[in-house]
Amino acid sequence: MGYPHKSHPRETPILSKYFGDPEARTLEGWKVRGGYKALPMALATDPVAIQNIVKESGLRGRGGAGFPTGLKWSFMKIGDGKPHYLCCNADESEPGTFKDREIMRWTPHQLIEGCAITAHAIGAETTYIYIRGEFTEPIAIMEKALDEARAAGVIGPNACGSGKTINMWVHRGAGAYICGEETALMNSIEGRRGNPRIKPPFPAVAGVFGMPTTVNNVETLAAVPHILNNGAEWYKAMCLGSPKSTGSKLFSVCGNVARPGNYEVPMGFPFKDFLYDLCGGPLPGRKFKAIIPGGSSVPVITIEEAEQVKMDYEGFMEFGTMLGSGGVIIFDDAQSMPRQLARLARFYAHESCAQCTQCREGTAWMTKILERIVAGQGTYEDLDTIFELTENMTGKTICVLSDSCGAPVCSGITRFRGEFEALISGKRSSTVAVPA
Amino acid sequence: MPTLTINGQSVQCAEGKTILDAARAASIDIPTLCWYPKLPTAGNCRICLVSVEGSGKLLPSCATTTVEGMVVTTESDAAVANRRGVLSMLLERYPVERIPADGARNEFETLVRRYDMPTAHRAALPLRKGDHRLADPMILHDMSTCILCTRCVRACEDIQVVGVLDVAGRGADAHIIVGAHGDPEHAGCTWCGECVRVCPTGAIHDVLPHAKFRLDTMAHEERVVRSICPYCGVGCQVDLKVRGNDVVQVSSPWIEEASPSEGSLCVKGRFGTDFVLHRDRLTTPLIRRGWRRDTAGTWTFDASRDGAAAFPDRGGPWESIRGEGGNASHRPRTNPLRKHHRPENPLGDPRDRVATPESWYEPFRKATWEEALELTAQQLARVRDAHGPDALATFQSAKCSNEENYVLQKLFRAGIGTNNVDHCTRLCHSSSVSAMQRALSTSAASGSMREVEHESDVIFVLGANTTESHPVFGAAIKRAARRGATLIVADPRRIELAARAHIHLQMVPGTDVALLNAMLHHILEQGLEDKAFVAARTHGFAAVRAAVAPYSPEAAEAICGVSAALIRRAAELYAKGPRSATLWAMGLTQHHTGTDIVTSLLNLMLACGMIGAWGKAMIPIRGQNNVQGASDMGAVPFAYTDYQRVDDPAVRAMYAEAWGIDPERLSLTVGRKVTQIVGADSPVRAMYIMGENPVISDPDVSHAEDWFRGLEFLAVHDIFLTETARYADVVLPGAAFAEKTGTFVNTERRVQLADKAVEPPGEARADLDILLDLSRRLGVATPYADSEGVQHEIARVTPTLRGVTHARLREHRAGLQYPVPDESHMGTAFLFADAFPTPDGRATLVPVEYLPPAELPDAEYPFFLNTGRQIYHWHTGTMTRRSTALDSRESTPTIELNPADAAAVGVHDGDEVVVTSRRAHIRIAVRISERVARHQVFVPMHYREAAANLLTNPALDPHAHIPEFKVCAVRVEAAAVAAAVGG
Repeated sequence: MGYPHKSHPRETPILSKYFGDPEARTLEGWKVRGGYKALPMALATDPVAIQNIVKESGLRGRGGAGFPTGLKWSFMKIGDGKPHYLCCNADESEPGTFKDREIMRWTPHQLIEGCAITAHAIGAETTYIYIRGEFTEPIAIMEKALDEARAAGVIGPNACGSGKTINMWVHRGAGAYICGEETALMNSIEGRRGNPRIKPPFPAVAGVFGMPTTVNNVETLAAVPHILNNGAEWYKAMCLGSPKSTGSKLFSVCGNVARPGNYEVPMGFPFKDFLYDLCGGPLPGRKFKAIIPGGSSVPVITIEEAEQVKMDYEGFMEFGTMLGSGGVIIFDDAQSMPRQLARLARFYAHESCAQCTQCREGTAWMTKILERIVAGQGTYEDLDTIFELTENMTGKTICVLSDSCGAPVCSGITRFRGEFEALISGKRSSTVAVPA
Repeated sequence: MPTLTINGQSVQCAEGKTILDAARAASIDIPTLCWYPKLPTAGNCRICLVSVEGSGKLLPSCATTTVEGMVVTTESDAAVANRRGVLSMLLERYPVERIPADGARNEFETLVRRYDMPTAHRAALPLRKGDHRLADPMILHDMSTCILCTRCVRACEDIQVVGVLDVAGRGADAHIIVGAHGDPEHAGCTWCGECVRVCPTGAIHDVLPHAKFRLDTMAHEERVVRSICPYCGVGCQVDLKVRGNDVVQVSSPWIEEASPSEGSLCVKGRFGTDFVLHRDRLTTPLIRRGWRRDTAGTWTFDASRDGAAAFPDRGGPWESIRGEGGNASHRPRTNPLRKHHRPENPLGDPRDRVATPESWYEPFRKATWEEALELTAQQLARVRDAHGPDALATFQSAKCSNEENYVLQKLFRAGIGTNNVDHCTRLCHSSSVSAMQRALSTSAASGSMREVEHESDVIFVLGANTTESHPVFGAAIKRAARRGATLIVADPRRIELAARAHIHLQMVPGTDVALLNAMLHHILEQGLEDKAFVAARTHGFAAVRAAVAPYSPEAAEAICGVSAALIRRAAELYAKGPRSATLWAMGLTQHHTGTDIVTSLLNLMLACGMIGAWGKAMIPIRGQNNVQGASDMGAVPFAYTDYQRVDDPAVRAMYAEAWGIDPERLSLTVGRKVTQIVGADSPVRAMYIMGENPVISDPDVSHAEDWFRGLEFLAVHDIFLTETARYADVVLPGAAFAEKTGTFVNTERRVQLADKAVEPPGEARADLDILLDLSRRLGVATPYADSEGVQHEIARVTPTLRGVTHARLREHRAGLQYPVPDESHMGTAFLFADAFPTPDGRATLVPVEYLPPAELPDAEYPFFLNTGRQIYHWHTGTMTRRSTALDSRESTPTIELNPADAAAVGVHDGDEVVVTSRRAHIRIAVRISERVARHQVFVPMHYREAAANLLTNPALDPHAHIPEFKVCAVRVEAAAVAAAVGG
């Protein structure tokens, strides 16, 4: 299977094994494909034991930050007398990222099973699956699958006959990127404006409705049943690079590339092979120039750097960027980097929740400057101002949206300064092959 | 108690405090913009970031909890660089050209100067926008200076619990909005001005008193004087900003300063005090035409002189209240502000709209003080000598200070020799006083407003529309409900508190005794009463137990229309507390069974032991800023100060000695009450009225109006020519609240000092000055230099106020809650922890039976009429209707009508109806509202042109003689229909 193209032989399709297979969407179809084996087993297991298996597997958050999942779960104090909540973060809004969408679209029960196991592991009776509002098709599919699961008693007041309550609800987002930030997501669920909250308190202490809450990404949760079915050792073995990065990872590939799409590879897979073999290399007659490897919020790297990268958390860090959400955005030699980065900055300016001064004003100001440069009206001081602004915008705000705006822009200027200076000086850039 | 180091200084602070808290306590200044005391921390401006050793990042001092051993540097290079970064970003969209070259106009600009920011506009981004409040009479927005700190949003949401303001849009487009449509009216704004108070840039600012004062003059007041708001009994302190002899702006004290309102104000206090500057203010004494002084110095009245013949029977060229109420030419208008948003004031100059008509002055001539006071003194003495002391009476004023009320009652008791002294408490809480006197031998609240806000687990509010009548306390109750207190509201109307309550007991008007007896019935049945309290601290429980036995919740349901299940739930919640507060106001008291109703509530409270501990507050919410003080000062017919009985010879002897007179000059007879003074069989022939307007406030006004016209002599001492003053022989121009110094007592027994800010206009004199002059003319010793001297005498004769002096009140600006037994005592926040002030220290439960209201709807008069207050007006409207801002919010008398009833009557919103009771009819505009239940209507009491009290029933409570303002039967017809049938 595979979608939109067949799985590449070098892929390790675990989560994506049934992408493109409509029969996998139904409860029966999913059971036939090995689904809902882990859940009854898990419900009969002590939550802490499940936490430990996941800890042992080395699973880390797939939403971008890469926090060890089992450790995060262990912050939930089982039996503290408070209602616990699980929030599944399906607000996949990071530009360049579209892996969660496909998981929900093709294998909704994979996610439901993961959520149900996790809810049990953290002592939660209620799970909210917070889905980006634009994902109309995945929402409909998830709702249908949840209805099926409830009707079959897989989840509900007596999940799988275990006597445990596992309630699960879809909550639709309303078009704000910031609601993918876990505390903004919680505010949104509560019916408030989706503004990130000050941390501490962290969600495990005071999350949704002020109660202990765990927020996990779709891909993270979807991996949980596989870990329980096959064991932590099996999962840990999927590792070609740093031992701290284990398992398989879905990468969404877009941009100037022959075969865009989702690819699932083991952690530590060589990026060069990934780009040229799995993704089919650049479009005819073009050359790769730059890559943003982990969704738009991470620093941009040159193709020369990318070709040396091992695709795991540590591998990307080595080159000053991050694995992030695994959204690989590829620019070829026909692209103007100032133009691309100005577009990204505009996105962040538009999506700033407007709480913090630095973010609200800084993202708008940076966009203004970049667009001025792109229009050929920039000055050399503008470049300095951008670095100065980025300094003010980094590490000083409630959430990291502000940092995320500065990261690609500054890395882009550092690596492709010539293109910016060419625009400022009015000369053609030597690194842009075709005028954009 | 973590100890940390801030800027090298060792600082200790309580567990859980933030770095900012610790720094502030140590007087270390960390700049802030979004942070404001008592508001939830937003942490969004990011200007308070500080360096903390061991942290890679700067940390927000407002949101970072201190830990032991923390080392903080508030002005590190990194912190200062960040602050300059924040300021530079904010300045990028700020109208820098308006910043004074070498100064700062507001908090933000002060920080710009402190960090030496360049203020050359970089013009990269457009100025910020936001919702405007076009043509708003009180609050204006200039959002170009908004820095989106969201203090206003949080103040609106978390202090006032209204939630009108919010942030809309995102990124650089984020802006402050006023409701979803930019319309404060629809968003539920109450114009409290809390947003104005907290705004750090003046983006949200106020306009007061009116266009006469431009904004730049407001910013430059010459001095600030602390006074007390002249409206309700919450007793909020106000800072009057004075320029020349004008109060140019009113603001509230700093939020962290101890004051009963914690610095909040409502629309009336913040925006409703421009009546002080109104051109209708009386500036010279007036004497009715026809009075003449002969050469011997004797004043006589001759109707043939001075053109007095044109105005027989003390009348004038005006319509009576009755005539005006029914007159079609006074067709009600809907509020133009609701329909138009034009930048110019659509109402024109409000002083022309609600002003004293020129014709009202016609029967009078201007006089000198000597003439006016000589005439008054002579006539009071003449009537006393001719008809006896009890032919005279005075209405004192709940708007005047303790000192003024004390001197006036002394004038009548010592100078005239009568106890015919009373004031408007008769019309509001007299039944509470009679019930509380009988049960607890007390006349004031047992607790404080703060305990209700912070401590009470259950808050039982009966017949009190606090969010409109006592808005600052109303907000505190809403905050309490938000903190988790259970709110039970008993009210026939679905008022704001009822809508927020956990339980709303929406009973048929006047059926309170049945409801409360049923609650007690259920409590006793469940055994939820506080048996230890009942046994140790009360009498008469058995009789009450027997009396409530027939009042099963089902029986009560049949009477009051509240389901038995709801009555049971409310009863259980109240009884289980553990700490329940009991608050009530006019909804209970203004009935012909007012004393019974309050008694049944006190029975419930005592049976559950909900008094005498912090959090178990009993508060009859007082309606005027000094109604408590006036009563305490002896402005009641039965007592001297401190409720010491006039019929007790020992008390009389004590006062005679204190006042240096023969005891025989003081009457031992209890005087007549307001409602007995104004009555067909009243022996009263002459009156002195200070700051009251009974021609609007008495029940069945048309009879009252006739009665006042029949007096031999009437002196009215007021600041405007009121509806009552126009029937006077002498009108004495007094001083408004801002023009005098004196003490006031709020609803929680808190004595506070108001200072004089400006001089009275023209020849008007301070009230105390007038009273002292008159006292001397009537031979009463007045050994006082000023109000402070009067307070010394009050302290001498009033045990509960013995420790109160002006000097102490200046020192303790928050005031002192009496009893204050000596000058070192800091006041008493709550009473009755151990005993009640009865001879044996026990309270008495008194069995009461339900009696229906005196007048019930029938086929001819099918509606219950309820009367009361609106948020924008106050009592007879003398002050509020002369306030530009307030009267433009509610300029028209309206009747609240349930939608179903409106459909049945055949009228729409704004249509005119004729409302008829057995006594009179008024024409009034309809406001369709689901706040009123079916078959009930509500008419506010503030409007001369449609006076609610033309309709009300003068049936009196047998104990307190309070009239039944809250229930009478009326008919409502569309005006067109009424005209067709000759109505």
